Amino acid sequence: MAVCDSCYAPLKVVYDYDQIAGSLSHSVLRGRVRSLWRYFELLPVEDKSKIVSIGEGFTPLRRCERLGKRLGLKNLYVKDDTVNPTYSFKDRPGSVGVSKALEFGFNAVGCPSTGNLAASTSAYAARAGIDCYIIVPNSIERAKIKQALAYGAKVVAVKGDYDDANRLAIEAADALNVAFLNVNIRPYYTEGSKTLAFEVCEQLDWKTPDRVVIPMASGALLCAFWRGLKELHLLGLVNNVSTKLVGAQPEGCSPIVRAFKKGGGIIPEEPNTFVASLAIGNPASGYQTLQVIEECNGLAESMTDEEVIEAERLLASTEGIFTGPASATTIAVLVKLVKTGDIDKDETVVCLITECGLKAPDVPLEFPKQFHEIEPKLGSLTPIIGGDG
Amino acid sequence: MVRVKCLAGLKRAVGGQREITVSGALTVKEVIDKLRSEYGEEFEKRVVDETGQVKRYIAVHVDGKDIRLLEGLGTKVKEDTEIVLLPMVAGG
Repeated sequence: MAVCDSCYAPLKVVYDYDQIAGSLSHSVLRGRVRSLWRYFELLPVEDKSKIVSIGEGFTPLRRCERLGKRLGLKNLYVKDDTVNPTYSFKDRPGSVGVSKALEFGFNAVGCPSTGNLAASTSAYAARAGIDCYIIVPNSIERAKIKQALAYGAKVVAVKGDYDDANRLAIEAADALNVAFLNVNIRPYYTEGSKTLAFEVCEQLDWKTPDRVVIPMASGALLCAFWRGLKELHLLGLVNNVSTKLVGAQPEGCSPIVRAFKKGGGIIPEEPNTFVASLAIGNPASGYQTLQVIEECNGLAESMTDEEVIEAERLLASTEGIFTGPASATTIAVLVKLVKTGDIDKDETVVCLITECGLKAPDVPLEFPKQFHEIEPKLGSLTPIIGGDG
Repeated sequence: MVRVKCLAGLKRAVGGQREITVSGALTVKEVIDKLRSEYGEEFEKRVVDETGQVKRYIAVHVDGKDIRLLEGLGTKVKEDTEIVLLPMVAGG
């Protein structure tokens, strides 16, 4: 199991940093493969022949001049993980998790999921030629599992909610010879996400950003990003880590934000939001996330679903990047924190864009002023286009 | 009889059994107290923290619901209730 045998907190992978420091440098990395596997020494797979890759990671860090100008930010970037093989950041932990499962000798993988991880696990299982079992709540829209089905996974719909699916996966991991990526090999799987920090720093010419806004579900991504920054510093690949992390959640499921603002422990919530990728009411890494936010003098903020939709539209219409609501939450939080002055206009800010908007077809994005149905006549078209002919 | 399932490493708290039964308890706290007295130090060490509460990283589900969404340890149980003790592992 993936937790401490005594306190049941999540386990962490440790590396021999002294040894790694001798083999990794800026110049060594410059010539390496353009995927997350360029950081092989800092990933928990020892046998390179077990790596299952479809070209995940090393995604663009896009400078956002138009959105930055709109918000008054001079140095705004988004890390665009919408271009990963299955269109979400989950390909990072997916690739690492399936590779580690092969190294452990598993010939089947799986996960409880509400969408993105299901697609990713299934794709990497297909690439590896092994079986894949996805456990989902039976209320899930078919569109959310279409990708997983296409990749050949067996999808098991459990009568109940995500908690029921997750509980069954924990029980199954104990009884069956299946590597459930986010359950019994979770510590290895989450290591894939820290490559976002490696890439952001490398793409900023080995400078750390002042601020990174990160979507939070279980909180594992924010913790992994921080771990990545600290590892780069430990290895001398960046000079300092003064980055402040900002965790973003939808208001309808924001147990980490509430605990951050009110103090005290994490109190689970019944999710009430359409931001499905962040709808985990009982975040497994919640306590570690709060510790990290405190350590880096960061912030946590939540936004309403309406504000998230607005932010999704804002990013798409200013930068041409169509993201899903999970990462639009980071843009919504950014807008708020610039207004309140919590984010300074001179800071170098990075928002993590973790999923493509096409993966969330049920989000009620409506554009009444932009959609027109007309007769096929020029006279009907010209008032809309506004030209004189 | 209340059925209690202990998942993953938590099985060791109850002598390696995946499922046990408890009778005569009206709340989750009473179930926990009965298990403490039956399985002694091993259960104490694995499930209960220094303040007497269930450890932070252990979730307790009653008929599929986390007790922190119900009435905590005061959550009532009936004869056919299923309680699950599990490590808090969810999402990614």
